[in-house]
Formats: sequence, structure tokens, C-alpha cells
Amino acid sequence: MSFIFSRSEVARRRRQLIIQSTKDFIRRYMKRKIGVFGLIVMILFVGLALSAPVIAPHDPVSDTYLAEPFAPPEWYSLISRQYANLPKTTFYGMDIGEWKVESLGSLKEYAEVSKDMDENAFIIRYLNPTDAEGNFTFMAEYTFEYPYETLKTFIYRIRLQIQNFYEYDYIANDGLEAKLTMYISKVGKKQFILYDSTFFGNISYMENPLTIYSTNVEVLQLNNLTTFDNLAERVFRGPGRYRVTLALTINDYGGEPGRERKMEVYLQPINLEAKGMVYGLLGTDYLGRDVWSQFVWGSRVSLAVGILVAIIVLFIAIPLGMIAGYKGGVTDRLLISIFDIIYILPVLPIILLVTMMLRRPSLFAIIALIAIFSWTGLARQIRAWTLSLRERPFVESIKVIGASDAYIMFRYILPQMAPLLVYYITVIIPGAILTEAGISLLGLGDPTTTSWGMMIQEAQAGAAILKGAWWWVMPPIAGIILLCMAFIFIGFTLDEIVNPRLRRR
Amino acid sequence: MTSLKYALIKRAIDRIVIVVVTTILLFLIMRVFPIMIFGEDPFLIYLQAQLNPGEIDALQDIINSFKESYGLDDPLFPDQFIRYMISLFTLNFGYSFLTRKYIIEEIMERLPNTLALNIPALILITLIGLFLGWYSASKRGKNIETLIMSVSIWSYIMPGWLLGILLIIALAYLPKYLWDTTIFPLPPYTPPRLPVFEINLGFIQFGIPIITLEYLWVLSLPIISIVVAGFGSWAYYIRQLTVSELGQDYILTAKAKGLNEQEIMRKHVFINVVPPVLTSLAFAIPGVFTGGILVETVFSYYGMGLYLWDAILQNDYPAIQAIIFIYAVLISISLYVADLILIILDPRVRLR
Repeated sequence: MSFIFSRSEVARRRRQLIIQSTKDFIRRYMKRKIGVFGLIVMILFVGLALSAPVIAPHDPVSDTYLAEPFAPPEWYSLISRQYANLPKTTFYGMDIGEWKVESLGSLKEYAEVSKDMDENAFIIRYLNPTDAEGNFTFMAEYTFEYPYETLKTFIYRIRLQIQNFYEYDYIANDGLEAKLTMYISKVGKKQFILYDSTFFGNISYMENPLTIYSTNVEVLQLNNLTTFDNLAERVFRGPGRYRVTLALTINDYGGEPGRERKMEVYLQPINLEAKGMVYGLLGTDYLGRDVWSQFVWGSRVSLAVGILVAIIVLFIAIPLGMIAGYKGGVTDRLLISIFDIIYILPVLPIILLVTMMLRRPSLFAIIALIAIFSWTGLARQIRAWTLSLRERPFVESIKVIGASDAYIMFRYILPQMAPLLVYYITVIIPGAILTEAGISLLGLGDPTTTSWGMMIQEAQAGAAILKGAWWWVMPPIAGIILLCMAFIFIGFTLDEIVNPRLRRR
Repeated sequence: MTSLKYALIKRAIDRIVIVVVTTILLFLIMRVFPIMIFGEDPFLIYLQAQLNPGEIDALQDIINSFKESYGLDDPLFPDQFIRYMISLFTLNFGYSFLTRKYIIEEIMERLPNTLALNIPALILITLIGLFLGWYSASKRGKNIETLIMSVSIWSYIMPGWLLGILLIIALAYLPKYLWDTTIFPLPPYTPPRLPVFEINLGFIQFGIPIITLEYLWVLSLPIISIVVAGFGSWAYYIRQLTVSELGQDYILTAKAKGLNEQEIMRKHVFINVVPPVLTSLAFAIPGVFTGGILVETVFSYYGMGLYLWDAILQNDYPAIQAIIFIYAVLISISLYVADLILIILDPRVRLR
């Protein structure tokens, strides 16, 4: 039997060896419970982070007031009777086809009401060429089903535009005036006024729709309520049919003979929003933001910090550590003292100092800072490994052939260390995640994103614990602990596999 | 003995270099970088905190005279730099921008609290960690080892501040708001002033603070969170060290001689585990004096860590300089002492 194999035979055997050892590795890894647990948790979080735009559509920072502040999660209504029928955030679309329309008044033959189905709007054209005085009233009613218990806040939005071509003149006492009133009521119960205003001239709420909050002081005053009363609570009393009424009255006080009085009114009801008192998977925070979205996007930040720091650390530590170990002498002395100094520096105060100096640090600045201060441990380790590896016979035999130092280092020494590196990477990652969380906990995180540390900080500042909002405090804490645990478990498992000395006997 | 002398001097130089580099870095971060990179004068940052916005431009003369009196119109290098180095190394820390009190006074006010928190914590961490690591190494392969190691791994991951938040929620807030009872105090965790027992021996007078139950009660949650979050890494590290020592050849020799396991552990393994443990202890000791920023912030604990964090937040440069300088000096001293002990214990170290 010949011991000299053909080139293809060598390649085949090498491939076989790699496949065999990989299979062996996976088999040994799967035997360890904590390793499998860590892997599952990590995959879960990676999946969460990658699918963030799909599963968490709300912006974690700027999408405020999605529901009432401190609203508990929606699934509360399933498990507790107390929360059984609490309102969820609902938008009543107010489709123009469903409005019941009525025209009244002495001058109704001069008015023409049309529905613009594309724009979802009423267009009222009033044109009076005669000198008849009187009024015209346009009434529209929208009825909708509301299935929940008492509401706390609702918001009504409408776009409107009034173009008055013959403005009311209070000296001559002629012209047109428009009076717009809006009501809301439970069908058959007392009506509450949402809006009541008289316009003598032109008005436009097209770009910024007229938005009526039920908590607005003026709205409360219209209904003879004080600021201690809650309008929404008085209107929405349990499930039933509710009605929004729009009334537009055009008062015509006559005018100069021969001049026609013309007015165009454009009314586009947008929606009526009932603010949920339960919201989403994890409720809301003190600004009514979706905690689930914050959690998911926070996982992105944490993973990015961990992985990017690990990559940067590898890129710094491997070359420097190997050069120090391989070259020895003065180079080694110099590098080792650099390692020592950075290792001994008080890391957190200096990072905080620099982030303070940067004023508004971006996430990448924080990542770079953490990386700069966390590579020395690995570099020392790599130096030690290189020291022992460079004395091995295989290195000497390659040296004899005439290979360059860089070639030996990266082609022959680095692959020998690769399995040992994996463990160190998985230990660096949780350290970086915790450091970032600590920085954000102190309020120095990147203000454009939400990280878990920032969530904890905001929860503390926003008195989450006093309000009993565990759904706001606990997810980030659990996320940090679980993710770090996952990485550490994976690291320990890998260490036990590749470092046989520590294997349990 | 020349090799010993040489080793000692070399180590001393190494440690002094650390202090010098730290102070230079501080100078760069606080004085040079803001001007060079952002074009901001740190003095103006300080002044802006004291003056109304409009007054900055109006009072240019006053600013200039201020700068002159502080010596800030001299060039950064060498004048200001040398002055800075000399004053730090002569322990002249100056006074705080904010409170106008001497930094030393401010530190002395807070140092007892931090020491009261961290000395018991470090002692407990070391003892628990040593015991658990040693015990689990001697019980390798048994169920108890798996249990201890999984608890240690959990404690290794858990940072003290995170555990602190959890403990505050669970033991301070929940009982308060569910049943209106107080088990542990709510933050801020400021230790009360201790009554002092005066001793007058005629030629000397001194006071001994009496540790009260209330004091221990206030300290208990922070200490618990530091200890529970801290012992894991020690236990894991010591177990790892011990197990790897047990794999060495001399253990095999000892076994062949007929020594039993207990004796091997006590006589052979222990001596070899001590040096790395000493080094880790040397790394941990300076933290006892400067405290942890995050833990003390979470507990609102009136100590050095919170002071440093407040100083960083409010650009109180003298305080930042002083605390980080003290930390650098302490870590150099403690590492040097550890080196000394190691050299005495382990003659091989001298040769390195």
C-alpha cells in the first residue's frame, strides 16, 4: 500500500476528516444541556433582532401615545376579570358612505351636498344668487359599535376647510357665517359637545387636521365640566352604539343686490380614536410607547454591541497578541506593557468620561469605546498560546522551508488557536453587552435608539415600579440576563469540548 | 540576590508607569481633547454652569481675568501639564468646582460609607468564592459540583447593579406597595451617622463609631447584591485553577507515593493555587476604596462611586482627577505588594 496519495485523494480525505470532526463536535455539543439551552436562547434572540421591522412595527423612541400611559398588556384581559373588557386602541374609520346625511333650513335649495368617496369627504357648496335671508343646516350622523368598558381618552380628528366668498360684515350686517358644531353621544343618551365654533371668514384645517382631545380644557368647558372630570368616561359608558354628529349651519344675512353669496365647505372626517387601556404584547411605558417594540429593537442593540465588540476585539487582539508572542524581545516588552496599562485602567469611569465629552454619542462610538478597553485580556491569552506554539516542531519545520513570519503566524499558528478563541469570544460578548447596558442605565446611551439599559433607566425614572408596571421593567432585565447567560453557556460548553483538561471526569 | 533586587525595581518602574500613563490620559481626555477636537474650552463649560447664558459673551474681561488667576491662559504644554502633574503627585487635589469644598474633605465624607459597603462585601466574596471553588473541585464529578457550578455561573453573569435593581423591586418596593410593610429601605440608601463612643485615656483621645442595627439594615441590600453577584467568578476561577493543577504530573507523583486525596489537595495543590488568587485579590482591593459607579447609582448610595458619577455628569474636573488618580495609585500599590508576596512565595517568579 502506497503512502503517497494523489492530490484529489488528499483533498477527499481532508474533506472527510473535516466532516467527521464536525459531526463529532455537534454530537458532543448536543449532549450538554446548558449548551443546548444557550444555543436555543441565542437563536431566539437573533431571530427577534432580525425580524424586528416585521414583528415590532412601532418606532421604539418616537411613536408615543399609542395607548394610555402604563397600559398593561392586552393578554391581561384573558386572564383577569378585572381587565376583561378594558378598551383596546381602536380607530373608527368613519367611512363617508355610512354617514346619515340630512339638509334642513329655509335656504336648503341653494345648497348642494356631495360626497367625495375617494377623499372620504363631504363637499358642501352654497350659492345664493337671490336676496333671500335665512339659514341652511347640514346634519351628518355616524353611528358605530363600541364593545368595551369605560374609556379614559378619545381623540377625534377631522380635516375641514371653509371658503367664504362673501364674508359676514358686522357693520352692514350682511354676508355669510358658518357655525360648525360636533357632538358625541351614546345613542339615546345625553349629547356632549366636541366642537362649537362660528366662522365669519375662511378657515383651513387641511394640512394639520383639527384634533380634539377629550381631555382638552376647552372641550371640557363646552360641556360645563371641570378639569377633574373625565369627558371620555362620561361619554363611553360600557358597550353599545355611539354616535358622532356633525352640524354645519350657514346663516345668510342677505347682501348687496346683484352680488351672489357663495360658500364652499369641505369636511373630511378622519377617525375617532379610542385610546386603549390595554395594549400590545407588553403594554406601554410612561409615554404610551409600545414596550414590546422597545424590547425587540433593544435586542438588536444588545446583539449588535456584543457581536461588533467581539469582532473589533478579534481584529486588534489577534495580530498584536501573536506578534508579541512570536517576535519576543523588545516588541514583546512594549506590547505587554501596553496590555497591562489598558487592563489596569479604570474602564467604566473613562468610558463615561469620554461619552460625556462626546455629548451625544452614537451607538458606534460606544461600541468602539467598549472594544478599545476590552481587548487586552484576549491579547495576553493569545500571546501565551503563541509562545507555547512557536516552540512546536511543526513551526520549526516550516521555518526551515523559508516561510515568512506573517505566513507562519496566520497560516499555521492561528488555526491551532481557533478552537480556543471561540470560548473567549463568547465570554467577551456578554461583558460588552453588560457594559453597554450599564452606560445606558446611567443615561448616556445613544438617544436615537432604545436599548435594554435605557429601558431600565427610563422605567426607574418613570416610576414604573410605583405604578406596578412590571411589563416595563422586567423584560429588559430578563433580556439582558438571558442573552448573557446564553453566550456564557455556549462559551463554557465549547470550552469543555475543546479544552479536554476541564472535561468532567 | 541581585536578581531579586532587579525584579523588584523593574516591577516598581512598571507600576509607576501605570500611574503616570493614567494621569496623562486624564489630562488628554479632560483638557486637551475638548479643545483640539471640539473646539470647546472646558473652562467655559464650567463657567456656563455658573453664569446666565447671555453673560458669557458680555463678561469677556472677567473671563480673561479669571483665566489668568487660574493660570488657564498659559499654554497647555508644558506649563499647565507640569502644574497638573506636580499638584496630583503632591496629592494637592484642589477644591470642587461645585461645592467649593476641598476634594479631600468631600472624599473623606464619603469614603467611610464606601468602605463600610465594600470591605465586608470583598471579605464575603473571597471567603464564599474560595470555599465553594475549593469544595466543588474536591467533589469533582458529583452532583454537588454541578449545582455549585451552575449557581456560580449564574452569579458570574449577573452584574451587581442588575441584581440590585431586582432586589430593590422585590424586597423594598413590592412589600411597601402590596402590603404597606417595610422590609428593606427604599433608595436612597444613605447610611445613617453612627454614634461615636468617645474614649479618653488622658494622653490620647479617640472615638470608635458604634455599628447600629439600623446601619446594618441599610447596608444589607447593597452588600447582598454585591456579594451574590461577585462570588461566582471567584468560585469558578478557583475551581478551574484547582482542577487544572490536579491534572499536573506532580499530582500523579504524589498519588504514586501513596498520599491520599485530602493531603494532596492541602499540601500540593493549595500552594499552587494561592498566587493567582492573590493577584486577583490585588486587582479587587482598589475597588474597595473607589466603589462601584453602577451599584452605588442604583442604590443612590452616598459613596465614592456616586460621587465620581456626579462629578463626571457635572464636569467637576478636580473630583474626577482626584478619584481616578487615587484609583491608579492604589492599584499600582496593591499589585506591587502582590508581586512582592509572590516573589517571596514563589522563587520562579524572580527569574521571569
